[in-house]
Amino acid sequence: MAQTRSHPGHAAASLRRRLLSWILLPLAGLIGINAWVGYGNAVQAANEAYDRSLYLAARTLAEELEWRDGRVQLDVMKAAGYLFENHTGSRLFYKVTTPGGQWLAGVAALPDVPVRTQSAVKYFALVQFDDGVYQNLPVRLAQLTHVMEDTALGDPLIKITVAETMEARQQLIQHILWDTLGSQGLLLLAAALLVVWGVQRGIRPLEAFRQQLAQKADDDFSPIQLPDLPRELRPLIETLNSYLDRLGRLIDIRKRFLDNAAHQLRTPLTALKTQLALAQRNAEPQQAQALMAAARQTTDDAVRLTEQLLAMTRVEHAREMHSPHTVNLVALARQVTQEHLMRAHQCGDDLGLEVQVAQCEVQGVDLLLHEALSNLIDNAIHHGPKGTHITVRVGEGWLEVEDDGPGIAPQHQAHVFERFYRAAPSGVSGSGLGLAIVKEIASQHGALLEVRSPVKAGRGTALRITWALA
Amino acid sequence: MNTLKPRILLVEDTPDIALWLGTALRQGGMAVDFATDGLQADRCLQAGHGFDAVLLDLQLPGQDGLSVLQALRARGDAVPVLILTARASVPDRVLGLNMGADDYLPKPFDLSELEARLQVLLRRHGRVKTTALRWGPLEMQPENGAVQLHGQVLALTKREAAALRVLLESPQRTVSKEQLHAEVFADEATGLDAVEVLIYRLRKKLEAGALQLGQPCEVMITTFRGMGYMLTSPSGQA
Repeated sequence: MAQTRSHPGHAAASLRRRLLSWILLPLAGLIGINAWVGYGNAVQAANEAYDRSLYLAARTLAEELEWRDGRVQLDVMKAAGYLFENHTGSRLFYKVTTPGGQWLAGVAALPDVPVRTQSAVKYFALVQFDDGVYQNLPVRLAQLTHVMEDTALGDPLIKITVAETMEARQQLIQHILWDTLGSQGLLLLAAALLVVWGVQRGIRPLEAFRQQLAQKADDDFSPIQLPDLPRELRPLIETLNSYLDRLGRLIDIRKRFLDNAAHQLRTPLTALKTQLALAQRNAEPQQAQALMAAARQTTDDAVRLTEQLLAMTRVEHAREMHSPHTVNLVALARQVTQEHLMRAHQCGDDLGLEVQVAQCEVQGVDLLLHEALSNLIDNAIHHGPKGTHITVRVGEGWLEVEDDGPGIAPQHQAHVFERFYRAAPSGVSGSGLGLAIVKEIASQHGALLEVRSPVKAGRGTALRITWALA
Repeated sequence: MNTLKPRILLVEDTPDIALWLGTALRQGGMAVDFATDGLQADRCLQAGHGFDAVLLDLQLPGQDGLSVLQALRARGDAVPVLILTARASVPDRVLGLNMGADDYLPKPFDLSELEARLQVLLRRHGRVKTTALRWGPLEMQPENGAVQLHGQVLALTKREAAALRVLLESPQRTVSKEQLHAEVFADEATGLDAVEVLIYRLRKKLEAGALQLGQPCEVMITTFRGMGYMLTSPSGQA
């Protein structure tokens, strides 16, 4: 797992964390709500049970009341059993009053239960429950309306109030609380473990995939293969594999380009070294002069080749570097032709410009178009014999360079735009890059590069870049 | 030091190129000083430096060539600067020219082209007032327009001399018919055909002049289709 840290491991961890939080947080919420509802229900049930027993205590008490000696008497000994044995942990107090609130027996200070029209308790209309305070302690009150016969009171109805301190209830509620918390907590823990385990297992193919990718050698572009690939990952890996395939092919092309370039660059340098060594060795000035002239020619070739190799790489990356704008083809043709006039003249060629339109503007990158036209003219000068007539022509949406050289044989025409493809006889130096550069530039401009040969009388080549007219 | 020789500062960090280029320039009749890095170049180019032109390489140790140029122009110094660089991409060229370079020559360059451009710069900036406009055996005194071929006076009409001056001032570049017409006939109501007639006569005079002296004609006015006229030599060398 050491690689995990060195690699963008946090991304993988974050997926796990995200999954866990997506599952565990809502789960924890649900369990929390469930615990809260369950706890509420339990507390309510407990309260009802306690209330019922409080009601029973009041009822029993009522039955033990007697009218003796002109007042209400309680058989305390009998009542004590109900009052104190049933309610371990809580203390009970009682009070007997007339419906009007006149004290008859018990603890006079007990609070009364306010009369509500709707009873809070379901099971007995004659009993009312309430929370109150007695001796600074919270108490639960039950007030029972009871009929007492054989009394000297005008009204046989009496009210019996029983108060119970809350210790037992609180204890029970606390118990329920801890119980709920404990069980739900365990549930949550178990769920969390299951989820973590599940997510871990679910992510395992992803981790295996990552490891396979991390272990790949730098030059290994073979597709990634995983035996038990989940369906969801398949498109991802297929996409990656096709990307790897393209990348591999691209790098392969690069490698071949470099090999070719190395070969191409070494050739003139080798020739140059030989020529110079010979010139040094040759005492005869005439021969030495001839060798120097040859060396100069070789150097020119090497320069041309270097420029083309650099242009090729530059053109390949041009797309990211330049944005197209309006280019005046007439001005461009004039400028590039001007730049090649001297060389054409020195080579004994006739280079001319023919503008067939007053103005021609296209969308493009002038640097690249300059390069393209420059290569076309250079190609014509380089490959034509001395005295070749070369014409740069601009028309409506096209740019053309025509020469009256020997032309390109039909079997070569399909390949002349391929890199390092050389149609010229082996005696003529050349890189096979010039037209490939033009082709690349034309396709970057969405323009068409066509070759026409022979042009007339079995001679000549015309290369034309045509823009699709909008 | 010969004060007539133009003084050139060659800022170039590659010793080989500095040595051979310096040798060539000296053979061409110039006084050459060297700076091998940007800081040294900057020191050499402080006020009152006395150079007539600067050949500036862009990739220099210490301080980039462009910043040397920037500092130079910031001081209000208008000495002509020709940039030499192996960084041949055109954005660099534009950048250099925008920063106040007068010309730009990508490496590798032909020695003859460098010399020609340097001459143009020196002349354009009036650094070599006494130098005649020259093309092979042809010489024109810029102040009075007097023309000599192989050292012998060549009689030309005013218009012929004007046309020849335009051609001489634009070595290695074509001059279009329209441009010649504008320079020679100014606002006269003549057509472009007049230029053709004029050039035809000029050619004849140059040929006849050489013939008279028993010399081969070494100055030619070549027509370039669609481009214009340019002075050339029959050997093909510009």
